[in-house]
Parts: sequence; structure tokens; C-alpha cells
Amino acid sequence: MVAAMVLAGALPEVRAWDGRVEIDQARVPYTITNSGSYVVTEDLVCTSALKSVIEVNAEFVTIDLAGHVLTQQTNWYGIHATGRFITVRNGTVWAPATEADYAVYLEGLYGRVEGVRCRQFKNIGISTSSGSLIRDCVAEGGGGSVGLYGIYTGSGSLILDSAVKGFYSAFPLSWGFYAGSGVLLDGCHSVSNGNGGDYRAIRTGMGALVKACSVSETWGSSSAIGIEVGGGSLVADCDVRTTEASGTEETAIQGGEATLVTRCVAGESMKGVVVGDNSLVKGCVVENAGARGIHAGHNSLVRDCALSESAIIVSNGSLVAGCTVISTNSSSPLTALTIGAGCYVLENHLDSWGTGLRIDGNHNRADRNFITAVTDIDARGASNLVIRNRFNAYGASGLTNDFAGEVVTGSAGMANVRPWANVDH
Amino acid sequence: MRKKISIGVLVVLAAAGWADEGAFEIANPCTITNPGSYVVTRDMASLIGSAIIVQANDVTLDLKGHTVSGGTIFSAHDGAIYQPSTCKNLAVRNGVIVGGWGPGIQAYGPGARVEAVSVRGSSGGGLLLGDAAAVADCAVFSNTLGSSAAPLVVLGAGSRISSCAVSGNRGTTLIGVEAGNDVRVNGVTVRENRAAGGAFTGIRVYEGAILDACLVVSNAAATALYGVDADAHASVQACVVKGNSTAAGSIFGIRAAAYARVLGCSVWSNRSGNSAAAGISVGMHGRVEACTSGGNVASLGYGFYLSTNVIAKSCVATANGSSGFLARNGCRLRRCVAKGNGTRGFAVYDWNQVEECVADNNGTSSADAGIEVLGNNNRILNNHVVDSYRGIVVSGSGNLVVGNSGVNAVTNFSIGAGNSYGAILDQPGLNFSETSPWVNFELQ
Repeated sequence: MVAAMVLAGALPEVRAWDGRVEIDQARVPYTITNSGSYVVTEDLVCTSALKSVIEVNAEFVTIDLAGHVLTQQTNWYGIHATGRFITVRNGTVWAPATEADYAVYLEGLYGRVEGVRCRQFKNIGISTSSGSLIRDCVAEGGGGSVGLYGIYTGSGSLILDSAVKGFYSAFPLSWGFYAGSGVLLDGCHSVSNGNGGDYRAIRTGMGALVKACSVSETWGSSSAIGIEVGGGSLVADCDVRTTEASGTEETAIQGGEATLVTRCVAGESMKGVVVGDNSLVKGCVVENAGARGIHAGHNSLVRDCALSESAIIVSNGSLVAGCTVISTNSSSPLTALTIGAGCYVLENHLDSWGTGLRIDGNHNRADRNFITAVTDIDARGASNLVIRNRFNAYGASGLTNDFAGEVVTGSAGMANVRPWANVDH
Repeated sequence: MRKKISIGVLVVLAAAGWADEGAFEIANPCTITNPGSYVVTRDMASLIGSAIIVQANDVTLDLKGHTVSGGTIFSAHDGAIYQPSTCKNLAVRNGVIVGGWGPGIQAYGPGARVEAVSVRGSSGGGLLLGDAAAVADCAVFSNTLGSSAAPLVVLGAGSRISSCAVSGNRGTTLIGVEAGNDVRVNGVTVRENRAAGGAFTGIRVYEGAILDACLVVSNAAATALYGVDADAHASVQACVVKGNSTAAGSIFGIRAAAYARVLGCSVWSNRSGNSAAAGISVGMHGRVEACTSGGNVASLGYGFYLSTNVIAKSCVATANGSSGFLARNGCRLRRCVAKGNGTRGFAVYDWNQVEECVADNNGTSSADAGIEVLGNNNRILNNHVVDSYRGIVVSGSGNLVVGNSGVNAVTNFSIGAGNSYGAILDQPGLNFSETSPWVNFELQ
């Protein structure tokens, strides 16, 4: 049996026909001390300082806002709970004076927030702990909201079909979505968010999965990153565009070691996809991301990506295959592909007004690439193998202590059998 | 024997909320014997056995955020909410279930739907459902299963489960989600569960299943652990298996049986308590593409274990205990990277093809190799092997080794008698004009 105790005043408990305890304006600020199911029956406004609109001091509580609006006019929380297993659904929580700290703040494990829209909160829109589910929620700035986090959650949570938009944060480091390790973000959107320092539209810890998310119009005075994931994470089917920073760090997608990035689109930022060692980037499209369209660490695999006005850089021991890199900017020419040592680059199309392939280290293999550039190959190492490539008006520099198949020209040059020759035509 | 409590009075409602007019209110443990919509109007608990028994088809039960608790004393009926397998189409939504002695919901008849339900405190499992079930937005957490119980979520053939979390559960042996043939598992996280006395499987699916966007993270087992265990013709895509461990058993990050596909998955840092671990294991005629497997620690820890006739493309194996890739028979490995694995980058037995791959700095001793051919009739084509003690080592017969490049090894090529290989062209210089299309290159 649930007998809700109303601490604010001595109003008797009222239950709806379905047994849920009703919360109305007369009981605000409202404190829940017993588990059970609660329903808001009208819009609520809190004017009491240091009081939440609804405070929960129990576990296993479900609060249905029933489509109503909770307004926090003081500097505390919209809905706050310290216990576990709290569910909040279906309503709007906002703070017109933007003094209120959090819209929905569930400190305990296994929270659930569904269909909640929050606006203009000072620090955090929705905050949950580990093992939570956030679905169909919107955290929205505006009205001078400062916004430390739009939506925050701990490890092992799910954030589905939610959005963060319109935040301009005064904090030097702030996030749209901030999630711990082992989380799943699916179908989330970040639009028009930023701050005066370093901003991350989506951030996860290690071993996360970010899928079918979109990020646009992200900015930071110092740095801005569209999607940032920890090592061992997977980013798939995401679209990140227009990431801007007044400083030097604009990155669409950034991942730690062993990150998989597949079928993503990244554009209009200084850096497109930046991943650590042992990563895999496949089937991505990168546009207008400059010299670091794709930048992968040691022993990475970059395959079947299409880059325009963007370039690829990989570190030692990497494999780059089947990529197309096109740069038509003659005033600021790019180096289409830069490799370290011990790499294998094959069957790529590198087209640049600058350098096609730059080899920084030793012991690389460049095989069956199609390179059309002012300088097709710029070799700065030694003992590199260059075979079976095709050039258009071949030009190379630094190939001295390397092993390159002879360069034959046109059909006449191809008349003799030279299976390892490079062809210029 | 438990005494069944039936509904004494059924209240016909005026229209309100999710339950339309005509929904019946339930305020106490009861048995439902007629189809229709029912609404729970307060928390309820049964002392013995099920709180709600549904002995009818086509029943919809809205918990309205309330908690329904099953009994903690053994009875003939399992499940805080129980429907016998002879009935079907039970729908339960929006509440908290405490299973007690039995599971949270047991409804083995077809067509069950469970939505926005949390299950905890059950000794018999979380959600035990039959064929064609649909589960969404549920959480199964903090259950401690009895010694004989294993699965936390069970689904029959043709079922769907999405956006669910299975976490913080304990038991002797445990399975996070076990689903039958042709199921669809999407957006499921299995995290921080512990099988204290036996094996743990994160997600177990049978033939023809599709897994998409699932995470199996930070679970532990006393004996064997399988992150994802998929039967024949299953498809496993965009999954993460990370940070799992066994005290004394073998560990498989993803194990996929015959004809299965594993696409775009990440398997990392799983630790085996004994000698055996495989990041991704694929059965015969399977396919694995665009996956990474690394840091799977065990003396026999493989990044990728490929059975017969498996195609592996664009995969990365790093820092596994033994071989980055182990291929048994008839496999094709193309454009893969093996780096820093304990003994070999690639190890192949019979009738395999390894082409256009990179093996970098694998092994630490004179017994190790970048690519080692342990059997017969393999094709080793156009690979690049760097910084291993031994580059390409062939000890079988009937193998073909052409177009490869080896560099910076004590022995770049060690090819036994009875094999065919292109001549080793040692540092051919600039603008070389070699006429044989079969040579291998030694760059340093």
C-alpha cells in the first residue's frame, strides 16, 4: 500500500481513478517519500528558494507529468531524486529566469526519463546516473541559459531519439550529450550549441556505441568537437557538419584507441575524423576538412572512404585502401595522403593540386594507386616500395633510397612486360 | 497449495489515460479469466506465488507506474505476472515488477508484449516469454538468480527486443538475453552482471537472428564467458564487447556459428582466466568484416578465429595473446591488419588465402612470425610484413607465396621445400625492371 505523505502542508493525499497520487499546485514544492506512482494534474510553479518543484526521497517512483509544464522560478531543481529506479515522463520542465540548476536530476541508478522537454536551465537539462534510459527528450537553451550539460548520464545507459539544441554555454568546457562508458546513443541530435571555450556536442566514455546521430552548428571559442568517444567505441551512420572554433581545434568526430567509424559523414571543420591507434575508418565521407580529413594513429585501417577538399594522414603500420581523395584547391593545396612507416597503401585515387602521396617514414608499400598531383610522390624516408601505380604526368621527389618499379610512359612503355612498373599516361 | 484470489468486483471505467473506457481496475493480487484491458491501481504484492495470473488470451495490463511483487515463497506458479503457455497475446506495460521466488513475467504463450517495464528482485529470471514476443524499453537489473536459473530474458522464435538493459544481476550461471530463431535484438546493453559459480553469456541467439547495436560490457564469470553467442545464419552488426573477464575459464567476445555474419563490431580488452580466448570466432561459411579485436588476453588469445571457408575483410587485430588471425581451412583474409600480437599476425592451416594484409611487429621470439603457414595449399599474396622476428614462414607444402614484401625481420622469408614462391628480390633499387610478375620483395 502506498500512502504518499505530503510534507509541504497538511493537504490530504488525493488519488486518481487509477490509484496514482495526484500532484497539484497547492502542494508545491512537493516531496515524495514513498515509492509508488504519481501524476501531475496541472501546470506547477515553484517560487520557494532552495526547493525543487518535485523532490523525491524514495526509490521506485514513477512521475507522470501528463503533458504539464513545471516551472522553477528559483535557483534549485525542477525534479530531483537521490534514490534509484525513478521514472519521469511526459512533460516540460523549464526555468524562465535561468537561475535553476537542473531541470531533471536523478542521482540514483537506473533512472528513466521519457518524453521530457526542458528549457533554459542554468547548468544541466537532464542528469541521470548509470544504467539509465533517456528517450524522446529535448534539452533546449535560450533565454541566457548557460548549459554545462544538455543531457548527462553515467555508464551503461541508453540515450535514444533525444536532442540538445540552442545552448550557448558560459562554461569554458561544456557538453551537449555527456555519457559514461558502455553507453548506447541512437538517433540523437545536437543542433546549434556552443560555448566560450571548449565544446563537445556528444561525448562518451570508452566502449560506447554512437549510432545514427547528427550534429550540426557546433562551436567553441577555443575548441569544438562534434562527436568524441573513448577507446574501443563504435561510431556508425552519423552525420557531423559545421564544427567551428576560433582556436585551432575543430573536429567532427574524434575517438580514442581502437575506435570504429563506419558510414559517417563529416564536413566543414578543420578536422574530419581523428582516431587513435588500432582504429578502423570505413565507408566515410569527409568534406572540407582540410589536411586532417581522416587522421588515424598507428596500425589503423582506412578503407573505402571518399574525401573532398580533405586529406588523409595515418601513422605507422596502417593500411589505406580503396579511398578517393580529391582536392581542387590550387591556392592552398593539400597533400592527399600522408603515411608514416611500415604502411600499405593500395588502390587509392589521390588527386591534388599539391602532393598526392607523402611518405614520411621507411618500409612502406605503395601499390596500384592512381595518383594525379603536382608532386605525385614526396618520399622522405627510405626503403619504401613503390610499384604498379598509375600517374598522370609523373613527378616525384625524394625517391632515392627506395625501391620503385620503373616508370613507363604510355602504350609504348607498356609494350614490354614490366609487371611491377609504374605507368605514367 | 496457494489459494487463488479472483477479482471480486470489476469496475468499468470512464475514459482516462491509456486505459480506454471499459478497462478493469485491479487493486489486489488476482486471476484474470477474461480478455480485455486491465489497469493496476496500486502497488500490490503476493505472499505466495504470482501476484497476477492471466488465464485468458488478449489481455492488456497497464501497471500505471505501480509495483507488482510476486511471492517469496515457492508455489506452483512462477512469475509475479504469469500466463500459462496455453494462452497468448499478453501485453504488459509501464511499471515495476519484483519477481520474488519466480521470474518477473512468465508468459510462454505466443504474442506477448512488454514495454517500459523494470524487473528486479527475482530469483527465477526477468522476462520469460514465448514466440513472437515484443519487448521494448525494459530493464532487468539487480536480480539474484537461484542456482538452477540462468537466463534473465528469454524470448521465443520470431521475437523482437529493443532498447533494453540487463545489468547488475547475479547468479551461479547467467544468460543476459536468450532468444530463439529469427529474432531481432536491437539496442540491448548487458552490463556488470556476474556469474559467480559458472558461465556467463551476454546475448545468446539462435538461427537467423539479427543483432544490431548491442553492448556487452564489464561482465564477469567464474568459468566460460561468451559476450555474444550466435547460431547459424545469424547477423551480428555494430556490437561492442568490452572489458569482460573470467576467473578460470575461456572467453569469447563474439562467437558466431556457420553462415553467420559479423559486421562492424568491436571486441576489446576481454580477459581470460585460463589459456583460451577469442575476440571474434566465426564458424564455417561465415563472414566478418570491418571489425576490430584487441587486447584479448590469454596465452591462446586470438583476435579472430576463423573456421572453414570464412571471409574476413578489413579487420584489425591488435595485442592479442597469441595470433591476430587464425584461419583453419578455406578462408579468405583480405586487407586486414595484425599488429603487436603475442606470437603471429596471421596463422593459417590449409587452403586459405591471405592477400593485401599488413602484419606489423607480431611476436617476440624466433618462433614467432608475421604470417605463418602451418598447413598446405594456401595462397599468400601481396602482403606487407614489417618488424617481426620472422616475416613470412611456410612450413607446409603446396603453398603459393607471391608478390609479398618483407622488411626488417631477422628472416623476412622462410619457405620450406614443396612450395611455390616467387623469387625473393632483395632491395631491387630504384627504377627496377623486373620481368617476373611473381617475385617477393625484401626491402631490408
